[in-house]
Amino acid sequence: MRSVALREVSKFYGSVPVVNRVSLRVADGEFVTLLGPSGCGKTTTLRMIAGLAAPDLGRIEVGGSDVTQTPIHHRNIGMVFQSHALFPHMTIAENVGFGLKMRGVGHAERTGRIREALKLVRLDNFESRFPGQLSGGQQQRIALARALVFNPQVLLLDEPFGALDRKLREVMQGELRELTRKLEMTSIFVTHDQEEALILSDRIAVMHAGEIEQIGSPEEIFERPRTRFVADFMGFGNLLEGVVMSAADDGATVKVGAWETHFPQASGLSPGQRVGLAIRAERIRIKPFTSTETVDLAGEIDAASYQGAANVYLVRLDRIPGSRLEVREGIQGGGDFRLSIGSRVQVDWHPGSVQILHI
Amino acid sequence: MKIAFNTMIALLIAFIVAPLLIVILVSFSGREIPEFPPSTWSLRWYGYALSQPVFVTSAINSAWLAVMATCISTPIALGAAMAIVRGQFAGKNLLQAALLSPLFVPAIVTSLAILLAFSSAGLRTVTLRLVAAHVLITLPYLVRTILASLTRLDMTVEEAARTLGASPIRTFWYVTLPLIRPGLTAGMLFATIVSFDNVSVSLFLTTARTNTLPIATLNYVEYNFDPSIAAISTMLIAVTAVAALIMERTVGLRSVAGA
Repeated sequence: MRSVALREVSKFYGSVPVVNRVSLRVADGEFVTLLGPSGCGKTTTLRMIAGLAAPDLGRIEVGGSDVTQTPIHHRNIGMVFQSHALFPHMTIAENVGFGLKMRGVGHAERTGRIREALKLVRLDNFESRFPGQLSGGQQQRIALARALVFNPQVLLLDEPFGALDRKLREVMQGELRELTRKLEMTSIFVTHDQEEALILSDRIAVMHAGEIEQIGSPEEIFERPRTRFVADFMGFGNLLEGVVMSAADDGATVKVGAWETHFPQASGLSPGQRVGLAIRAERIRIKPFTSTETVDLAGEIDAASYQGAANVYLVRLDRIPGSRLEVREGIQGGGDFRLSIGSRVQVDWHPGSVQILHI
Repeated sequence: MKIAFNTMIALLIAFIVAPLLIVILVSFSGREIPEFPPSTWSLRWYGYALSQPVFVTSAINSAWLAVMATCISTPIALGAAMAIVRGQFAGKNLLQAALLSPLFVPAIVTSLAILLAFSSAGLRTVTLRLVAAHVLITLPYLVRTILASLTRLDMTVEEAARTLGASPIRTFWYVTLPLIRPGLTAGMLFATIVSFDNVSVSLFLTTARTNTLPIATLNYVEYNFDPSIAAISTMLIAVTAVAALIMERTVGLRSVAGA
């Protein structure tokens, strides 16, 4: 039993809730990420699971038993910190073996298990070195080995790769994913990096202002955000605000500015309701305007920038006053602007690319 | 420019070291009165000083007092420093200021205050009064060095130890203490030297029968003027130099001075 459950957990600083009635279930062997900007309460939530912070309200369960009142050192959890937090005065072997020593594991068995754990993170033969002699990536691997060696019920990771450079971070993400899968380790990971969350997680809980805004599979979170915040945080560059004109079994019609559009799959909407249409900049098709066709959305390029992998345009749409639609067009070959500022364009997208938000 | 700068430094060092050198040279004089430079050389004043019961017993008193004071004030300073750095309570700054106050209150005021406090409390046992007073004057040195080490300590290391299954006490023993050890050692050596050297506080509290080495020395020069005092001073310089050397080797003098 290595599941974790939070039940209506709250934490206040003064009268301000930093974590507000958070409920979460993490199944045995599941990898869940708490994703959100700094100050959203994700780290505080993790620290409460570890016991490093005490919840003011609610219950925390690990392996089916209530640990809300259990002191830190009696909770069987492994934790990896952003600053790796290795003991600088101990050798790598002493660092990794610390949890075993605290649990009264004898010297002989300890040596064997330290070696196993080091092999797991591919740093065998590092036993007698000191943390200061290791690179950032190696230090974080040792921290991982130290947190796993005593077979904890749950592994907690607080932005463990935040201090590493991009390339190394990707390598470490791959290794962590492989390792937790292999060990079937229940893991809770905290990050503000959406890409990292998508790569690693079985499920993602997006946090905002102390609450979980949405929880779901990486695909659900990435493709079908339910709130404005999640859409924005997951990189939906555009949000058009509109009103539901009519809603029926065969979908709904939404009016944005002077532009009306029909969503056949839309449900749960009522006429007069204000909604947001979220759409990713890279899912919009753009081409020069030709007056020979009937065009749903035409406009004028307001700004254009070259961003290496893509050209990014801001388009003023004729029928949506005040709009500045962000369009991201992947570059196939050559880096020249295909479209120049001031030129007339037309845009469209696959209807499935638009996510309707209740706002 | 560079020459002027170097000359300044040389003068400064000479200013500090020259008197010590004179004392050391005088201690090897063979004559009855201190003379510089000595006209004859001998070790007779070392022999004389070491054969005087008043010096020997007071030296033992001083050493015992220094060790006792340090042993008592170290745990107090450690607890206080932990509370100041980690604790959340009203009057934290006041506590810190109070603990460091013997550093900036004039020594004579501290001494008089201690004497008056002991008299009104009816504390008449000389050794007890001395130990208590020396704990007080050594505390700030320990508190300062320990505070500096604790502030530099990364608290997530302690949190890591807790998550790995260490109780608060074992976290302190296996993680906190080893990491603040340099500051702690420096503070203890400092405290020992401060206690051993102290004149102003001891002056008020010692008696003719229970004396410390600095006071015995002071009393001696009031009536006698021979190089034995220089011999004692030289021995003290040697002991202090050895202590400083140990400090330098183990923790580095810079961390002590800069603490």
